[in-house]
Amino acid sequence: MNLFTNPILEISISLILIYALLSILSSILVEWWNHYRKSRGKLLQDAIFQLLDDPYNLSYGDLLMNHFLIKNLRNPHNRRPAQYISSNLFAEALIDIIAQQARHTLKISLPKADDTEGKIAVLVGQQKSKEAKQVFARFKAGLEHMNPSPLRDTFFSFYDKAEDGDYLKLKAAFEQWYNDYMDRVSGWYKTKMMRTNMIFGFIIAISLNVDSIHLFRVLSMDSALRQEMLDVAETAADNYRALADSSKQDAATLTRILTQSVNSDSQHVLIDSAHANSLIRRADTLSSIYVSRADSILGVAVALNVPIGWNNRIAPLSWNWKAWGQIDEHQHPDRPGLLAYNERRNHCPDPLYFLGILISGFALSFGSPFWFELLVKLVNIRKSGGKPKLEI
Amino acid sequence: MSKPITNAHIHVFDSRCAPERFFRVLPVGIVRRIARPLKSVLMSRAGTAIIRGLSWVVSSIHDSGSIARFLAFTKIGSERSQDDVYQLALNAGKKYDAAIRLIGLTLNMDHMDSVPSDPLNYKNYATQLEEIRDIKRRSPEHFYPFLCIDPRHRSGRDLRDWVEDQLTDGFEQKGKLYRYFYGLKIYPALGFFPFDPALEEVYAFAEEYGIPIMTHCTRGGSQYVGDDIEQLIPRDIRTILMRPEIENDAFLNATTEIQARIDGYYHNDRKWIENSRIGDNDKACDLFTHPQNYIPVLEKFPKLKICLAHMGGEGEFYHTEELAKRWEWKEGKVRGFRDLIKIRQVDSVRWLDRIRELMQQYPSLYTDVSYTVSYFEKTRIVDQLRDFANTLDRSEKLLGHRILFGTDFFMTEQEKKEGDLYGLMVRSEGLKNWVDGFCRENVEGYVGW
Repeated sequence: MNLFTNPILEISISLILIYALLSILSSILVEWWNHYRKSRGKLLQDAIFQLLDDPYNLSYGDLLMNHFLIKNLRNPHNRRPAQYISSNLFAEALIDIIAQQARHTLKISLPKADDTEGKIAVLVGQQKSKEAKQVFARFKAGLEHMNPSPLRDTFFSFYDKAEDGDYLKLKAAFEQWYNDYMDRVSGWYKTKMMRTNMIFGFIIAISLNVDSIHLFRVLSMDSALRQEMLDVAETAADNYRALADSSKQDAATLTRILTQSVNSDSQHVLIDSAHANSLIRRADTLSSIYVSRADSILGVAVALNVPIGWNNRIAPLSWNWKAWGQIDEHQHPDRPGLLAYNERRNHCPDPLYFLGILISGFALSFGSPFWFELLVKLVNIRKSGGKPKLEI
Repeated sequence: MSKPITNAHIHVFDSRCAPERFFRVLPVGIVRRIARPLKSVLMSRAGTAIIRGLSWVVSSIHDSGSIARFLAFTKIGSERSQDDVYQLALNAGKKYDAAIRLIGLTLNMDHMDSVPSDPLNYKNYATQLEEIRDIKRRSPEHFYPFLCIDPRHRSGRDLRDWVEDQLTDGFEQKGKLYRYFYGLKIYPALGFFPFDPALEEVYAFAEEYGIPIMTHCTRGGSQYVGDDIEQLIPRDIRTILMRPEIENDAFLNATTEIQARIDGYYHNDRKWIENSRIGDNDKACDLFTHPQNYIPVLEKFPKLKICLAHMGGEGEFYHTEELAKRWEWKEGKVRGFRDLIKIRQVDSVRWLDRIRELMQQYPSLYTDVSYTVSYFEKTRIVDQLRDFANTLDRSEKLLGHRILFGTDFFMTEQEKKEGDLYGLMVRSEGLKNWVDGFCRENVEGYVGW
């Protein structure tokens, strides 16, 4: 048996194309959810609170987020926290906050209650040395103002390493600390996103009725559908290969690749559907972009006749006995095997259906880049096997 | 030129200053069980919108005043920072007087709960003060913060030294000297008695230097929300009682009544002081705020300037039977009201009358109209307030000279807009002879300007 013409490879490529397609939809929803929930900004804010947590002193996380340099990075209209804070801004603001603690050096005496001339406050002590005006010196004074704590010790070590009062060295130490920590935060974010992807993977699998076992069976029986999928998969793989690495994670770019890969007539029908337009009209501008992208993906799915979606004539709604009479028995008159399979599946409840949904949910949680990479590899294998041998 | 209007009672803390289980102050069992997630939800815009919608529905069925008030708190409290909250108060006040002075009362909520809050969701008191100092530096002519003290934070000499350090801290701006803090704030309902000996040194210091103290004097309000209320209320009050050199009748009578009240609360049919896993401390916390608690303090420090804020609250302008009749239809439905009726049946003397008697007795005692000003549309309230103001003290001076204007921003937002409260005060026909006194003059003696 030739591996390169084996239907298993073709079925796999078709299935992976479907997963890639629906993973993009999942990515769009995840992106929208993150936008709505302000996830990125919130995680950054929480990470900074955790980094600067010091029960013996002030809540430096709060002071940092409310510092003038940082506060204005927020969206003024929806209070969305800053999604990104550069190490430069972080260091500048934090050094300033620590240094500001040293400003409480002016002492004003309190007049006694029975002091008739005591209404005028008297200056009793003020440190106004030239040195205190310099940031580096004020930073040290601020540190001395703090209660002993691990955070203070850390700041002191930065101070000690910045020899000769070199502010730039001090700032570089803070920047390095922040950058190293942010590398860890990126890891937390990825873990969090994996969980979110899985949730949305299952949401899509259930809401679009994506039964992987059913897909496999239909693709194995319907060679015409498989061939159509293979054509689109090859075009999509070629387009994906041509992309720059940075664009391979971008849901919008991947959406464009897929929509370009299918027949332009068929996608037109869905992209301009009245339902999507009404959704777009209701949503805000940014949400409308997500709706439009999601609609494009669904358009591709429909154009390719991917056997997904809810209908009372197909499983599992058709398992309701009231709907039996409505089952279309002439769905595939030219493909009796497929017709028989559909009849059987739509009439008899099948526990494998739930396994199929489960497999789909997990599969979609891997994300579109994973499926596109796999798609490219399998298409390459198929293409390499398809070349005719040269006769010498 | 007349003196500027002074609003002697505002708050500017934001939601992050409140502990995670803050919403246990709401007298609803289910809310208390989900207080922590509720705060997270309410701090989000979507959550606030949903709850506001629900409260609108609820209010159309029956009075949901307490819920609405806390939603108002949530709305302003979820502003970005204390500075943002302050700007709202300043802008409202400036419409009535460009030179408005605002006395901002800090609140130490570090000890409000028995369980510490996660630093990711809570800003400690020290940070609250640091932000308050920043506001003072930016707005030195308008903002006059008071420093909140709590005997569980620091006590005795340590507390006194800390207070002195904070009150003498200052800065120079354009040739003028300003202090960061101008007075002290105590909020006993958070879980301590004002006659706690741990406060003795600081009271002595405040008396010596004429430092004003603002307190909270209503039944209800924010309160201790921890699980272990019993440890805060000893069965024998003498173990935590400040004693004057001469234990006169006033002192002895007051302490006897305080002790009797605590005994009653511990041995009531259904115990009113009882540890509870949901912080069910409404009735117990009223013990902390009782006006009688200030008698031991004033007997020991007769020149101490204390302001018993809110005049006891709006409910204290009514007699118990009137309240029962007014809220008859609510009794049994809304627990907060049911509790108040029960408490009033046990402790029937109106706090308004108690405060009047105390002010007649102690010339350094003040009160303010904060929160109560929301009800100045009611003739009954204004008439009683006028009678109060026209009452003579022992030295034949009118009590009205020791009543201050305050709004209690931003607790009052659900009742009235902050700007409207100024309007109710300055345009009050019934109090027209007192408006300047309340708003501009009386505060001079209180703060010592």
